[in-house]
Amino acid sequence: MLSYILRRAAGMVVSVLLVVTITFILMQLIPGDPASVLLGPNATPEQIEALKRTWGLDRPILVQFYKYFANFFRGNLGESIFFRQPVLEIIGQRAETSVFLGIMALIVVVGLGIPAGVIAAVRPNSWVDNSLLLLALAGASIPSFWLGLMLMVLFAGKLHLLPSSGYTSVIATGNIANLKNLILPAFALGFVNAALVARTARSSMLDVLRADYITTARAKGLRDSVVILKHALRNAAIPITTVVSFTFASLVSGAVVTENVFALPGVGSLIVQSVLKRDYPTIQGIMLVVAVLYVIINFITDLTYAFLDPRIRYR
Amino acid sequence: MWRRSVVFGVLLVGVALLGVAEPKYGGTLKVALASEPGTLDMQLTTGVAASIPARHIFEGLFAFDENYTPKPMLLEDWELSADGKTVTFYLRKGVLFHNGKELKAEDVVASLERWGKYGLTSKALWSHVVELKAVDDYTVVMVLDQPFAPLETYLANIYGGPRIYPKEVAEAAGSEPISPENYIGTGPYKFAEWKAGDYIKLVRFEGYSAREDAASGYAGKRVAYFDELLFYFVPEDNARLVGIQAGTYDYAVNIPNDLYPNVEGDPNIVPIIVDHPPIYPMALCNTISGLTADVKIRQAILAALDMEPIMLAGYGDPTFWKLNGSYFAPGIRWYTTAGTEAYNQANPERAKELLKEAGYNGEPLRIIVAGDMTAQYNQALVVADQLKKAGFNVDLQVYDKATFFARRNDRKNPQWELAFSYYYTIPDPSLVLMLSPTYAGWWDTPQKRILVEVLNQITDFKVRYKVWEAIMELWYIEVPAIKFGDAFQLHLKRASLKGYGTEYINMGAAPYFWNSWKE
Amino acid sequence: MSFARLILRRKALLFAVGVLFSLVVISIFSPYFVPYDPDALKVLDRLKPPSAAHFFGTDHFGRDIFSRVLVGTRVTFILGLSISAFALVFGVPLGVLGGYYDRLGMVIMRVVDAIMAFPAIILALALMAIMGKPGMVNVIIAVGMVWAPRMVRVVYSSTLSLRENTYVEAARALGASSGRILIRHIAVNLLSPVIVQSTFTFAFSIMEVAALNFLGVGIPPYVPSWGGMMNEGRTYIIRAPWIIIFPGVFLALSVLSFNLLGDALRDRLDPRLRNIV
Repeated sequence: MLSYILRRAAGMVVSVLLVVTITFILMQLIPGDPASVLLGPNATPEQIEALKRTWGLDRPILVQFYKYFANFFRGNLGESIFFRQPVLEIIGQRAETSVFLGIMALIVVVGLGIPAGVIAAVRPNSWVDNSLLLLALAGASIPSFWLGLMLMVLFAGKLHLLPSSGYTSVIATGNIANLKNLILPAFALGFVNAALVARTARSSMLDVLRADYITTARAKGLRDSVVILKHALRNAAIPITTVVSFTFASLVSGAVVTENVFALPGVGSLIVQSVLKRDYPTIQGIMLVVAVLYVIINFITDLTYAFLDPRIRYR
Repeated sequence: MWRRSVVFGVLLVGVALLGVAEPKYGGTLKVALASEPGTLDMQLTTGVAASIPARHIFEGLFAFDENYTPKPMLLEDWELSADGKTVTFYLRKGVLFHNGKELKAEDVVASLERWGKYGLTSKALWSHVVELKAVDDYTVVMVLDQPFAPLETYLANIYGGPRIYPKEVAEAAGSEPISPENYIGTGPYKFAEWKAGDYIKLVRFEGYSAREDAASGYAGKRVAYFDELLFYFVPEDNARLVGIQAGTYDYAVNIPNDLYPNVEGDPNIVPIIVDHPPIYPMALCNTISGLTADVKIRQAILAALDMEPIMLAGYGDPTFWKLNGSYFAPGIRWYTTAGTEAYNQANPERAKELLKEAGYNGEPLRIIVAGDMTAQYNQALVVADQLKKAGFNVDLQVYDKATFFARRNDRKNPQWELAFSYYYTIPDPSLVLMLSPTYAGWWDTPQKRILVEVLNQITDFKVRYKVWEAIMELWYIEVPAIKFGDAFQLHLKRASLKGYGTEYINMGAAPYFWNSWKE
Repeated sequence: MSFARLILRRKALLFAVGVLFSLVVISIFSPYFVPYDPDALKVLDRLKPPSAAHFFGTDHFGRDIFSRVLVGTRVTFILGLSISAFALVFGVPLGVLGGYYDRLGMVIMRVVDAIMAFPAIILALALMAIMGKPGMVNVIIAVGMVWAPRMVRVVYSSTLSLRENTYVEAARALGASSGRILIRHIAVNLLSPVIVQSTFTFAFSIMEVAALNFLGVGIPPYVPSWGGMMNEGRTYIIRAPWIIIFPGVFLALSVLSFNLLGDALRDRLDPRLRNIV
C-alpha cells in the first residue's frame, strides 16, 4: 500500500509540475498584452512599452519562466496586473461566491440525483423508473447556460420570483438572504450533474439490491424502507460518492459559464474577464489552483479506490 | 458667515417654491457600471467606466461646467501673460488631500510632470511646455514656447488627463498605474475599497473643501450627501436592467437601447436618454497601408454607405440616434455642415465607379471589430453587407477587445482597412483623436498638418471655427474615418434618486453623484 | 431486461436515430429549402415574434431565426464531426502506444492527466485566446485538444486490458511482432469503445462549442451557429426570448439523441464499458 501511495504521490507531483509548465506556455502564446489593455485604446506605443518595462514583461521568456517557477514554489502566484493585489488574495475574495454556488449546486446534484436514482432502482422498469431515466438523459443533454437563461426568463423575467443576477457577500454583510441570488444559478448548474448522479445511483443500487445480504435482510422481515436506506444505500454509497467527486471538474467548468450568465462575482467569471484583459498572473493563478485541486481530488479518489479494492494497487 | 446663511435661506425658499424636496444627508448610493475599470489612475486611462468613480476622488485644476466651458476647480485664480506664453496658477488655500495633508504647489508640479511624461492626453500640450515651477506654496508658473489655445480644456479633461495627486504618490508611480491604496485625491469622496470583480467603495471625505460658486456641471460647489458610494461592475446588460427594476441599484449606465420598452411606464424608474452630448460611432480607415491607403477606395466606401440601417442596427429605435455627418453634434458650438454633403450618399453605383477608377481588383477589404462592443459589431455587420453589395470583397474579422485594440493600434504592420469604434464628445476639436498622426488610421497629410497647427495656436474662437470647418471639408475628401451618426446612450435611475436634473444630462455619459441624494 | 424496457429502449433508439437522421438531412439540404437567406439583414423587421411569416421570429437584425437555426445545424455537425475526428486521430494512436508500451504510457498518461486537470471550458477559452482569431479551424483545434486526452484515456485503458487477454499472450508466444499484435489483435478490438467514446465526444463537443460561442470566442458570430445565436440573443432575453429558445431546443435535441445513441451502442457493443466511459 505504501509503495502505491508513494508512486501515486510522485505521479501527482509530476502532474502538478506539468500543469505549471503548461499554464506558463499557454500564457506566453496569448496575443495582446495587459499594458495596452490597461492604458486603453488611445495610448501610444511608447507609453505601452514603458509600462511593459515596469512590469518586466519585456524580459526574455526563460527569465520570466524561471521567476514564475521559483515564485510558485514559494507559494507566491504573483500579483494581478489589474488589481495590484496578490493573485491568491483575489481568488480568495472571489472564492466565496463560487464555493457557495458549488455547495448549492451539489445540494441540487445530491438532493435530486440520489433520490431519483434510488426511487428508480427500487421499482426497476416501472413507469416511474422509465420516466426518471428519460428525464435524467434529457437533463444531461441540456446546456447549463441555456437552462440558466430559460430559468432567468421564467423566474426573474416573467414571474419576478427570484433575482436573476448579481450576488452580495453573505460573509461580509451577514445577510443569509443573499443566498437566494444563487438559487437559479445553482439549479442551472446542478441539474446536468444531478442527471449523471441519478444514473449512477440507479445502477449501483440495482447491483446492491441483487446482493445476497439484501435478500437475507428482506427474508428476515425487515421493512423495505429500512432495507433500502440502511443497508442498500450505504453500500451503494461508494460508487455514488465517487461520481459526486468527479462532478467537481464539471461543476467548475459549468460555473465558468453560469457565473457569466448570472453576473456572479465568482472565480469563473474572474477567469473569463482575466482572459479578456490578458491579466496573465491571474489567469495562471486560477488555472493552477483549479488544476491542482483537481489533481489532489483525483489522488484522493485513487487512494480511496485502492483502499477499497486492493487489486487496483497492482496495476 | 451671515452671507452664507442668507444665500442658504434664499435657496431654501427657491427650493420650496419649486416644490423640490430638500436635500438629505446619509445613505448609500449604488451604481451599476457596465465594466470593471483597470485602474482609477486617470492620468493613465481614458476609460469612461474608470472616470465615473475616479471623478469623485480626484480633482483637476479646472473642471467643465454644464456648457463644457472649463472653470477653475482647485484654482483660486489664474492668469495668462500678454504673449500667451506664461501661465500663472494660484491655488486655493486649505484644500486637503484625503491623507490630511494640504494641497501645495509642489503637488501640482509633481502631478503635472508625471502627466506630461506618461499621461495619455498630454502630448500636444506638453511638447510646448518649457518650464514648470512652484513659485511659492500656492503659486505655480508654466512657461510655453508658443501660445496653446485649448490649455484650460486640456487641464480640465479627466480622460488621460492631469488629476492632481500628492507629490509622493505622483513621484513614486512613474509609468505604472497608481495602486488602489495610494488613491489619494482632494475630491468629496475618498477611496475605501476595491473588491475585485465586485465593486469599488467610496466614503464621504469629511475634510472636503468645497468651492463657493454655484454648481454647474462638474464645476462649482460639490456637496457629498451620501455617506457611501458603491460602484458595482455588472457587465451583463440584463443584470443591470433587472437590478434597477428590483431596486438593487439606484443608477445604471449603458442599458441597451432595445431594452427601453421594458422600463417604459415604470413609475419607479426614470430613463435618462443621454442625447446631449451624444456619442459618435465611427469606422477608422487605415490611411497608410493596405487597400485603403488609396484615397479613392476610402471615398468609395463612404459613397456606398446608407447610414440609416447602420444606425438602426447599432442603436435600435430612432429615439436613440440622429443622422449627422459633422464630427460634433448640433447644439455644440463646433457643429458645422461643412463637408457633410458627402455623408450618407447611399450610392453603391458611385462606389463602383470610384472602385473602377482606383483599379480595384477584388482584393479583400479587412474590417475589424470587437465582438464585445455590441453596437459596433452590429454596425459592422450592416456595413459589411452594404459594401459587399457595392462590389467590395469584404473580410469581416471579429475579435475580443484586447486583440482588437492590439491589432488596430499596430502601426508597424497594420492588418486592417476599417476598424469600428465609438467616441465620446470632447470639448475641443484639438482633442479629436484622428487629428493625431500617432492615432490608429495614422492620418497625416500636409494640408491636415497645417490646419491642425493653426487650430492649436490661434486663440480666437471665430478663427478657430473657420479652421475647424476647413478640417471637416478635408475630412470628407480624405476620409480618415467614417462617422455614422450621433447615438444616445440610455441610463436608468430610480425615481428616489434626487438632485439629478438636466445639468447631469448635459454632462453626457459620465454621471456624478455629489449634490444628489436619495429620498 | 424486461420486455417493456426493451421496447422503451427501442423507442428511445428509434427516436434518437430519427432525430439524427432529420438533422443530418437538414444540415445537408437546408441551405436549399429554408424560407429566407439566413444572413440577409432586414433591419426594419427586427425583433418580430414567431408568426406565419417567421416561424421562429426574427432577431435584432431582422434575420429569420428559423432559417438560421436550420442552417446552423450544418455548422454544428461539421464541428462535431471534425472535433471527434481530431480526437480520434490524436487519441487512438497515443492511447494504443501508451497502453502497449509501459514507459511511453507513463509519459503520455502524465501529460494527459495534466491536460485533463484543466476544466474543459477554461482550457478551450485559453486556446482560443492563443489562436487569436475566431474561426472554425481554431475551434476544432481548441475543443479537439480538450477532448483528445479523454479519448487517449479510454483507448489506453482498453488497450491495457486487451493486452492481458489470452489471445494476445498466445500471439506473443507464437512470436508475432509488436506491430502485428497492435494492429491485428488490439486495434481491431478497440473499435467498440472508440465508437462509443466518439458518440459522446460528439455530444459533449457540440455543447462545448455552443458554450464557447456563447462566451463570444468561438466561430465568428455572424456565422449562424446555435451557441452564437444564443449569445447574440442574450441581450433580448426578456424582450425577445425566441432568439435563444429555438437554437437551445435544437442543441438539446441533438445532444440528447447522441447520448441515447451512445447508450444504446454501449449496451449493444460492449456492456462492460459502462464502467470505463
